[in-house]
Amino acid sequence: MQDPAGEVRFVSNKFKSLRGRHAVTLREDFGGTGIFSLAWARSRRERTAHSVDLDGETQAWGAAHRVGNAPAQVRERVRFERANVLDGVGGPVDVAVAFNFSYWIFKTRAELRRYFEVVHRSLGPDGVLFLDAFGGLDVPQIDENRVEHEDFTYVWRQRDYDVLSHDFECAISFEFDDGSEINPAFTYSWRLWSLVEIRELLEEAGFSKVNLFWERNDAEGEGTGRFYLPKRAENEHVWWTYIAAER
Amino acid sequence: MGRHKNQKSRRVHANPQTQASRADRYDLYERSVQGCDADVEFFSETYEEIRGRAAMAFREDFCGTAKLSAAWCRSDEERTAVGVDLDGPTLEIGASRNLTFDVADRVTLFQQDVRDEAETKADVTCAMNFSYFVFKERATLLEYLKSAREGLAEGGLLFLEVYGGQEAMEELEEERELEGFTYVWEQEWFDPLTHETLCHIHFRFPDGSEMKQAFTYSWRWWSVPELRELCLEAGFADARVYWETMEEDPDDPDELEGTGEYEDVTDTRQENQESWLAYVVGVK
Repeated sequence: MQDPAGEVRFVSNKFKSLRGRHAVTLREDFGGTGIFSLAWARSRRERTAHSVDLDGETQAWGAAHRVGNAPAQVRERVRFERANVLDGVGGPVDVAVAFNFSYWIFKTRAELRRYFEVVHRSLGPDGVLFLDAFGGLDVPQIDENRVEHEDFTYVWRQRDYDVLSHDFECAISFEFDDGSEINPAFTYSWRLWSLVEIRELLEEAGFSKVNLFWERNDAEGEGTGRFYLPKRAENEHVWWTYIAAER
Repeated sequence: MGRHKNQKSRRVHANPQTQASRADRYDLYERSVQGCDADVEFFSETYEEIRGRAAMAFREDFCGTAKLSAAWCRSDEERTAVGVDLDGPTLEIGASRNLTFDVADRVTLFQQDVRDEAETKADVTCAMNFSYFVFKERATLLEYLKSAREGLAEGGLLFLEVYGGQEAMEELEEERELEGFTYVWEQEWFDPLTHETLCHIHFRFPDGSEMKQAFTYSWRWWSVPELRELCLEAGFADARVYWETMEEDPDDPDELEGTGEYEDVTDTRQENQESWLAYVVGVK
């Protein structure tokens, strides 16, 4: 489900076009196994990455199996830290990212605004926060999606959705040909935030400009993986996009 | 659904012989989207349930032709109502049509912004047919909710009608057959970036004529959690949700249709539906 090299290219290009220079320093919030940080360090020689997560076990797995396999000159520019993203650890950075909707664990406006305020303070003078978000007609409901891979099936379950609070319970499971499964492998208890709510909270937290991207479709209506800044968008069954908030 | 705020244009077929050209859009509107007696009953019962006494003073924001204010006063001879709307001509039509002798001296109409200070306090204030969706900025809607709360008597309730579901967030045109005409609700566009939407009401007639864009609405669609958060920020003690109950459509057992009855769902997890109606109720 993850394409860290592609996401690094996206973040790099958008930072360059917003700020007119290459971004060097990165903090990855909710960094997990640190694969975005690793791709960042790989992408340019001078780049450094700081991956922050509460879950030390996940970080240890990433350090051993992902970062640990990289060449020393890449590995030494990736730093894991077990910390709460609300603690504002680390020095000022050019880019902060919170991907895979992980910031949706903050379910109230006050909590999410506080997180954005912490990120705002942690950015350098021309720093940019990148977030992702998804939504669409088919998202606010109980649903299940399966993707077949070579040796397992990935199952995305939207297990519960509350239209009164937008509380959103999701899970990832893996199923295998021999009938066994890991169910659930990961669970998420989120609030399904809309783009307009996220924009309002980023502005309240002090960000000077919030850019909402949208994926460009081809003639058949299929996503191209290219994102632009539209004047207006049309809703889709499921969409997935990025937000870039400028300090 | 829909109401006559932000009315932008009205195109009637030029031929004076057509049914569209002879029709009165306010009359069609009232017959299409208003069920005043049921609304009055719901507000009365809910207030009595929460407060243990009857609501007497009513305020209808974005009142248009004030048909609901008149129905409120008709329901009890002690009841009074205030209707507020920016649109003078619509208020005049309402006064001449709906403020009949039995209620005329108990309904007061004000041509003003709903955020302006109220002269009298209401037990129940309502903003029907999603008319407060004209407030597209959070700060502006908050300002309205604060002044609505200010305009309530002690223990007063603010009823905000809200719609949602999958169908609320896409382009859509749906028809409903009524006595002598067809009511058409069109969502011309919905923007997932801003939740802004442009909607129209059209009326179609048996002779093939049409009153296009009889009413047009430029709105921001607000979700239930956003409205509850805003009510609490505006100072309301509580923000409850009343959900329209559904029943099997007698013509199509695979479909559900709204009953027009609302129940308190504060403590219940509620699934999304293709289309739903609810009230967010601010409790002062």
